Amino acid sequence: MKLQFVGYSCFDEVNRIIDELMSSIPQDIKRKYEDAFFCIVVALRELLNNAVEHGNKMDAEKKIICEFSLEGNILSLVVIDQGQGFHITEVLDKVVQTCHDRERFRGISMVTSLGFFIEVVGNQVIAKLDMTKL
Amino acid sequence: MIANIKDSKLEFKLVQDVTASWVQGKLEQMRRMMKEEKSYQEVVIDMEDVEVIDSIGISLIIGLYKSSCKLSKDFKVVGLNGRIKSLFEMMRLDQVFSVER
Repeated sequence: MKLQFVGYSCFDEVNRIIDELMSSIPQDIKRKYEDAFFCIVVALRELLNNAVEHGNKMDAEKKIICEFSLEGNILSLVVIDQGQGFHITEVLDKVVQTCHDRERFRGISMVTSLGFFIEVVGNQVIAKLDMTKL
Repeated sequence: MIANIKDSKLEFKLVQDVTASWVQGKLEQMRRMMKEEKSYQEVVIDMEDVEVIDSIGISLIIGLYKSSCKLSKDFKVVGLNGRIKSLFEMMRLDQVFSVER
């Protein structure tokens, strides 16, 4: 199964894309992975928020693209923005250097803590999850 | 969001998803109320009606916790559903302030 959504770069569009995604996924898949979908939505929201805020710098004229695919037990989320991309190690280093009550630098580390493997290629963030390991 | 003072507690009841689209501007609004009100000893964030939170929503909660510390007020988050509580624990926020179901 592969789904794609395109939206303008604002937080209301993040909500819309997630609502559309959830209503596009067949009920039997949602039932099979009921607990996993809470984590998937949390992770996807973080990636989309990052694309809006850091990738597209809150420029509502820019676009965000979200691809969702499930092949076997491997779930893949791809979020594309119109920014310059970033280095994943630099972001995760900031997390290591700050304490639990930091107010920012939490989104990407949340996604990895949920079990996703993240790869950044240019302005694409690819997050993969083995659904059997949740 | 509903704000209420009762039994020396300033309670903020969050009645919607605490995500980026809602959070903008709320931290300053809530901080202002915390500074203006004098007759309370504890800030309570009631999240019983919250189904979804993101990292920007969590930043709001942490910001309120830090403001409470500056004002020498106690702080706790109550009414979390199991999944959101697990998320808070995963980020070790239960080691920073009180988190209750």
